[in-house]
This record gives sequence, C-alpha cells and structure tokens, in this order.
Amino acid sequence: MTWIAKFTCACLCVGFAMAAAADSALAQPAGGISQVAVSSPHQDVLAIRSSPAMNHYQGNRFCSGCHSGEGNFLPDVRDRVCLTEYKTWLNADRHSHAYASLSATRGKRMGELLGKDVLAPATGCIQCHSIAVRGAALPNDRQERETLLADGVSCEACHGPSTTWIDPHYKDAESWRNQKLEDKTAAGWINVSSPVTRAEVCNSCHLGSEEFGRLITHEMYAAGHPPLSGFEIESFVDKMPRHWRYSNEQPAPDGRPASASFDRTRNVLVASVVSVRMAVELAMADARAGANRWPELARLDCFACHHELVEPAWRQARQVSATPGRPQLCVGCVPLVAIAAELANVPGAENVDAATAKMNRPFDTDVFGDPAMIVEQGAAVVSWCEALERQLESMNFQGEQGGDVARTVLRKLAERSEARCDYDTARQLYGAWSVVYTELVANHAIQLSHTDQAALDKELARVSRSDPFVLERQRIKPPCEVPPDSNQTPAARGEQLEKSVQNAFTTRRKYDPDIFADLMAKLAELTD
Amino acid sequence: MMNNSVNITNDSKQLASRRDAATCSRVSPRREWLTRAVIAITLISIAHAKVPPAAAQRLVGVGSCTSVGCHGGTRPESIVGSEYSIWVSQDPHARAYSALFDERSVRMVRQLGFQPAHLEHRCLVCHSMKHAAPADQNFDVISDGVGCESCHGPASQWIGEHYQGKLAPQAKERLGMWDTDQLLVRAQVCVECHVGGPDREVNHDLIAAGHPRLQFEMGAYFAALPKHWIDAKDREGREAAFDARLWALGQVSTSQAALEQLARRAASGHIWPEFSEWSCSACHHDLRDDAGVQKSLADREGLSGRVIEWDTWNHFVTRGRTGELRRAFGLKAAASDPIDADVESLASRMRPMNPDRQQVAAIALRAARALETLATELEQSGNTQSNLDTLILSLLRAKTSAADWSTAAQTYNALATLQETRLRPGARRDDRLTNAVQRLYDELAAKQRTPKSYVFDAEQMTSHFQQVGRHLTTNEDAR
Repeated sequence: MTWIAKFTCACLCVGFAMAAAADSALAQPAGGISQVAVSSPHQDVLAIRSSPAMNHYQGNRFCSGCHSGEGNFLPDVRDRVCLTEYKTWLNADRHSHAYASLSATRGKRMGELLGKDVLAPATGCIQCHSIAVRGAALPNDRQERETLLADGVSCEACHGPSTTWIDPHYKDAESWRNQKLEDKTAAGWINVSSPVTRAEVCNSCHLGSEEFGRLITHEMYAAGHPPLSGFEIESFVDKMPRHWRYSNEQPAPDGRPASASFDRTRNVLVASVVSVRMAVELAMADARAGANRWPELARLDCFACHHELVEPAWRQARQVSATPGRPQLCVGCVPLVAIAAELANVPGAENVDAATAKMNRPFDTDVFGDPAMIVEQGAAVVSWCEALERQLESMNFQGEQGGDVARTVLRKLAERSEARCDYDTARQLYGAWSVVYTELVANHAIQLSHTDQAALDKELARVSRSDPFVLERQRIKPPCEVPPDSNQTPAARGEQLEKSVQNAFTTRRKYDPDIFADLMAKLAELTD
Repeated sequence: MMNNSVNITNDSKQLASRRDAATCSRVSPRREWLTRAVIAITLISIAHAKVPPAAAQRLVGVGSCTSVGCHGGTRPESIVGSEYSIWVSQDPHARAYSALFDERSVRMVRQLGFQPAHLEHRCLVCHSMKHAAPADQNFDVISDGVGCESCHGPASQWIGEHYQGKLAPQAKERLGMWDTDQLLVRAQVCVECHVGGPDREVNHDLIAAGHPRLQFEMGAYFAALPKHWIDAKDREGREAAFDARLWALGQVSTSQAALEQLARRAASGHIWPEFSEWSCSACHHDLRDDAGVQKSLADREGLSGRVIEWDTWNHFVTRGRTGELRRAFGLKAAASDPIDADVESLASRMRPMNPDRQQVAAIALRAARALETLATELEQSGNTQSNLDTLILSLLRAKTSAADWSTAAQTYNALATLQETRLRPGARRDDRLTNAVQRLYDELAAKQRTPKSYVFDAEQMTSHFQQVGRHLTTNEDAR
C-alpha cells in the first residue's frame, strides 16, 4: 500500500464534524479557522486530511522568508537546498498561475458553459488549481481565504500543509533532517524525494485521483479544459522549471565533486509505473461508483474517438489488440512500463503489452467498458504495478551500475519507439529519452565522437524547434538559478497560457508516428 | 426478399431465447417479457412491400441471363439486350464479390477475427446474391457479386416465363419477380443493403475495421448507377417530378430501414448502444476550440459532455419535415405529424450514453410502420412543383441545415434533386440556381472533404445555403 492509501484508510472515517473541531492553538494569524466544504465533483468519496494536530495550509508567506534567495545561510545549507525556490516558482513556474487561470478567458467560459462558479470551493476546480484539497482547513474570512487560494499550486500543495512541521523544519533543521521519515510524514509533510510519492503527488492532478478528490470529467473537457494526458514526470519537471538539485548536482560533504547518480532515470521509470497504476485505480473508482460515474469518458483514450477519418492514415496500419471501433482506457505509457519491468526483471515483464491489453477486454462485451470487468482486470494490474514500483525503488541507480542502467534505458526507448504509437505515448517516450540522455551527459557516462555529438546537437535543436512531442525546451533552466521576473500583466500571462493550450490541440493533429519512429531511430544511431 | 421470412423467423427465435437471459432491467420481468414479446412479434411482421410470399425460390445465377440473344448482347450503346454487358463492364455491383479479396477486406477480417471475407456470411449477404436468397448455398452463383437476381429476385420460378412476354404485376408477384417498375420497390431493394436489413448490417465494428460508412441517398445513387435500361423510357408516363419522387421515396425508405434496424439492435442481444447509430461527428471531431464544436453544442443543447448526437443522415426528412413532405406531394398532413414526433422523440432518447432498449425499439417500430404506409401513399400521390419548392426551401432554411457534414450533404442532395427536376424537358431552366448549386457541390465535395477530415466549415456552408435560398425565393416571387 502506498502512503496515500494508508493515509486515506486511516482518515476516511473521520467526518467533517470532527475536522471542524480545529485546534485553536494552531489558529492562523488571520483568526478563526473553520472547515470549508471543499468538495470534489463526487463529495461522497471525499477523504479528510486529519493529521494528528489538525494540520492546515498557511500559504507562501511563511516560506518566502527563507526560500527567496535573500537570507543569510551557512554554505552547508546552500549545498543542500537552493533557497531560491519561491522565486523560481513565482517568476517562472506555471503552477503559480493555476488559480488565476480559472478567471482567465478559458476558465470563465468553462464556468459559463458548465453553469458553475469555478472559484467556489464547492465546485471543485480549486482541488487542482490551488492548495485547498481534501478538506484541509481554510481561513474563515473570505478575503483571507481567497488570498490563500490565489497563490495557486504553491509550496504546500506538493510539500503538505505546514502548520505542524514549519517550525521544526527550520528552527532545528539538523534534527528535522535526521528525523525518521515516518514521523515527518505523520506530521503532514510530504516526502517528495521518494520517487513513488512524488509521482503520486504530480499525477494526482496531472492524471487525477479519487483519493485526493481530484477528478477531471469529460464534461469539463467538453467545456474546454485542456487535455491532461501524456504526463512524463521528469520532462515536465524540466519544464516547470524545477527548483531543486539532484544528488549528482550536490557537492559531496567533503567538498569533492558529486559522484555519478541517476535519480532522474529512476524517477522516469518509477513514475511511468505509478501513472499506469493511478490511471487504472481512477478508472476502477469510477467503475465502482456505478451509473452516475461510469462510463466516464475522461478515463478513455481521447483519440480512440476524437480522431479524423482520413484514409489512408497511420491508424489503419496498426494491429489493434481489441475489437475494432471500441474505446480504450487511457492507461499511460505502456512501452516505458515495459522497459521498467524488463530492467527490474519482475514476473510477466516479457508480456506487459498483453497484460495491459487485457484492460481493453471490458470493451469487447460492453462498448463503454463493462464496469465489473474493469474492476476485476484493474485489480491485477494495480498489484502488479505496486510490486514493480517496490522492485524499482530497491534497484541501484548510482555510479557505474546506474550508468549501465541508464544506457540500457536509452537504447530500449529507441527500440520501443519503432512500433507505431499514439501521440501521448510518443511524447512520453521522447521526454524520457531526453531526460535520460541529459543525465548521462551530466554524469559523463556517455561518450560520443565529435561528429556524432555535432549531428546529435543539431538534430535535437531541429526537433525542439519543430516537432510536436517536444515540451518547450526553452523553459529548461539550470537548478537554483533565479529566473527574471517576467513582469507580465495577468492578461498577457493568460494569453500566453491560452496560446500553449491551442498549440496542444494543433500538435496532436499534426502528429505522425512514422516521423517519430524515424527520429528515435536516428537518435539511437547517433548515441549507440 | 422472398426468403427473408426465414430470416425473420430465426430472428424471433433468437429474440425469444434472449428474452430469458435479459437481466439488470428496471422494468418488471413480466412487463419486460410483454414488451419484448410485442417487439418480437412486430419484428416478425415486418413484411416488405416488395416481398411476395412465394414458395422456395433459388438463385439461377448471372450466367443464366447472359446469352447473347437475351441480356448478353455486345452493343451496350443500344442498351436493350445488352443489360448484362453494361452491368459487367460498368456497374460497381458486378465487383461486389471480388472486393472481398482486396487489401481492405483482408485487413478488415483480420482485425475483426472473421473468416476470409469470401466465406463470411456477414460479408456475403450484401456482397453477393445471398441477400436475395440467403439460404442458397450455390457458390458459383455467389461469386457473381450483386447480380441480376439481387434486385430482380431469385429467378428459379420466373426465368422460364419472363421472356415469353412482359409479365403482369400479379404474375411477377406470384413467381417472385420483384417489380422494379415501381419506384418504391427500387428504393426498398437498395436500402436492404445500403442502409441495412435483417441479418445485414454495417455496424461500428465493421466501419472501424475499414468498411466505408453507409450514406445512402436514392437520388444521388440512382443518378450514379450505370443504367441498363433506357432512362427516357423509364420516365415515360410519369410526371416531371420523377426525380423528386424517387428522392422522397429514398428518404422515407432509408429512414424506415434505419428505424427497423435500430429496433432490431435495441430489441435483440446486439451490442448496445451501437455506435453507428450516432452521428459520426458527435465523437470524430477536432478538439480545437476554434473548430466550433463547443459553440454548436452550446447552441443546440447546452453542453454536458455526456450526451451523444443521434444519426444525422438517415432521418434527414423524417425528423421534423414529414408533414411538409406530405404537403409537397399533395397528401393530407396534420398540423403535427406523428412520424416527426416519434423520430424526434427517438433523437432525444438516443442521446444518453445508454438509451433505453425497450422504449427505443417500440417507438422505432411504430415510426417504421407509419413510414411504410407513407411510402405507399407517396408512390401513388400527385404533386406540384411549387409544393416541392416550398419543401426544399424549408430544408435549406432550417437552423440545422449545416449542423454537420451529413445534414449539409443531404440538404445539397435535396437541392440537386430539385435542380434535376427543373432541368427535365419542359421544366424552366434557371442558370443562376444551377450555378449556385454547383458552387455548393464544389464546397462540399472538393473543399470540405468531410466527414473524413476535420475541416467542415458550418458558417461557410450556411452562407452558401442562404445564397441558394435567395435565388429560390426570387423565383417564387417572380411566379
């Protein structure tokens, strides 16, 4: 069981009434705290976060004091943390626009089409577009509450509501660091260093999660919500841009340069498995919930239905593994999971495609997927994924052995790209490839001839300019560097976001799997 | 058609056996049994106007008709006597069987898990003469494709008599020769395959595997068919509205066949819902916001993301314009037509993702029966040109005339029929209208090659329709 699952089991039975009895000792500077009915679209399954001391969110102002790059800190602290995180988030990270986007053109129009107030906590948008999740306490005062929400997806959205741990984590940082993980997580702090946990945190919004009360619906897509599919964690982290260093970027305690370490390769593999598991868990949750929630078209592959009907096209040349013309579940990047399974050498690794194809069986008997079969088939996939996650976490991604693994992943990614795959899969495969390649370079674990290197650089530059599966490489920034304040007006920012949403639709339309396969073959040849 | 009775009986047996297997219904078992029994009995009673009740008839095969002295003449330009030669050299129906061996068919059966297409009953029912005599196992005959007897009826009983003089309608009926002199019989023969019939369907599985979508429109198909009869003679004695009547009978028969098919799908153990019952573009649309999808959804129904628009091709006239159709052909019409009401009610019942089988089957059957009656009345009706103009003007001005490619194409076909009617000898020429219709065609066929691509431009289409509408109005005023 994952930390979320454990947590939820412990908390499911705790109702709103109990949560409302907030500990007054932890009252916010603004005054009283009360439980705001923050509901998912499916309130009945809402889980309440009830950390031991009734933890709540308190906003960025408590973090920015130290994490804005302005304080005086000892070098050993600076080695471990950037201390510029807040500025990176504020100036460059789109998570800081998450709440504002609800009031931008698209958000407004969605509200009109759906007939709902997108800013009202009860509507559920803020579950992903801000920090207010799972009924954690929000200030009673409307203005205070809105100020808190207005920060969008800020520090505590990923690191956990902080009233319980903010003091220990900086007042006695040394002992906080040495505390047992269980104690820290029990205080509501989220251990995003764990590859499984961080994948769950990211995917809870970028894919959706019943346990987090974050559920995208087809209704929302139909009203204009941008597509969510195709989340590859580390390439998305690059795009954020990230506000942390990986272990190979941190100097060793004795001042020597860092040793080779392949954290990111590991994260790519683990997160791909977590994505599949969470996608299946989400579909199972909808299927279990009955006719009000199933069929939930948002769980299905968008392009199983929303494709053009042009002939000849690449779609007709595929060998489908199910009855033609039926929708399919969107289960994530199967080729990447297959690579992870082969490396971890788990049972069934040779047959991942067949196993995931089983998730299409429910659509043979019922065009929208037999819910009972989805639950039944899904359970097997979930437990298989959990075993694989454990196995991957225990693997060694350090030093020379890590380099071997990363090189193998790079080769297998190109091999797996030969089969015609859909746009979202291609985008994840390419994202994974570029992350693993970059990490090999950073660790000096790949040597190319001058001509190959020049050819590769040229190819990557070409791809980043033109091809649809590339994630705006210009957004990648060196860690800890404070990006300049963009000084964008909210309107300009909204326009920029809107443009990138429109691009997302266009690029999907332009995608051609043969061009993708050629590109990956070329990259493989140059890095071989 | 004759032997369809066998098929329908089989259907009813299947219905009866599935009746007991039905579970998970909110309708009480007793009530459900009753509803299903009623539907089953009605399905059995779907008799086809063209199907004469005769004894076992067998196919004799195209080879029996091809004698040089009969229909296999070598002068296709003179038509009479060379019917076979025209069919075999020009008519795509002659290649229906060989199409089962092409690359697409091979790919289709592989994806569907069928046996090779030329052995597969589900393919042969339309791609050979199995449609005319399903029980016939003569494979020499089957390899002829859609041959003479597919449309004229299995000939074992009448081949010996038909060349001894023209058979009277009663004799044809007795011997099982289908009376294709009647326009309604033609429409009904075509829709059996081109829309669907008992045991004959192109469902979404087939379409997804590569079968072209069925989009039958009698007027256009009739115009495109290489005629193995003298067209002028065919029109002799029928008034100037030959094309308009054929179009109208096609519309009504298409809707009727599609409703019967819907009833069979809803009442039987057929997979449900059947995706091909829905409008293609309801799902197969671009996701770009500027494609106007959200706008059109919001305009029409409000937007929920959990409803799917019903078929917009097969019920083009019968969904809301049946009354006007009646008036156009001089038939009595009530203020609100029960067919319009039933078809509209089906359209709303088919919008949820899991339409109620029993209700849908019952209403579809009722509407199909009413359409069958209407078709007979239409065949025997008179009509006046101005009534037809009014109907077409109303189709053109309908708010939904350019809602998607299907309705736009159907609207165009209706217009083209009007134009055909006008171009016949004796009809008044109207070059401006001809040009406007031609521009419409260019727009639909050349620029907006939907439904295959995403690029259907509803606004552009609407403005073209308005333009043609203005011409028509001017003409009306001038009269």
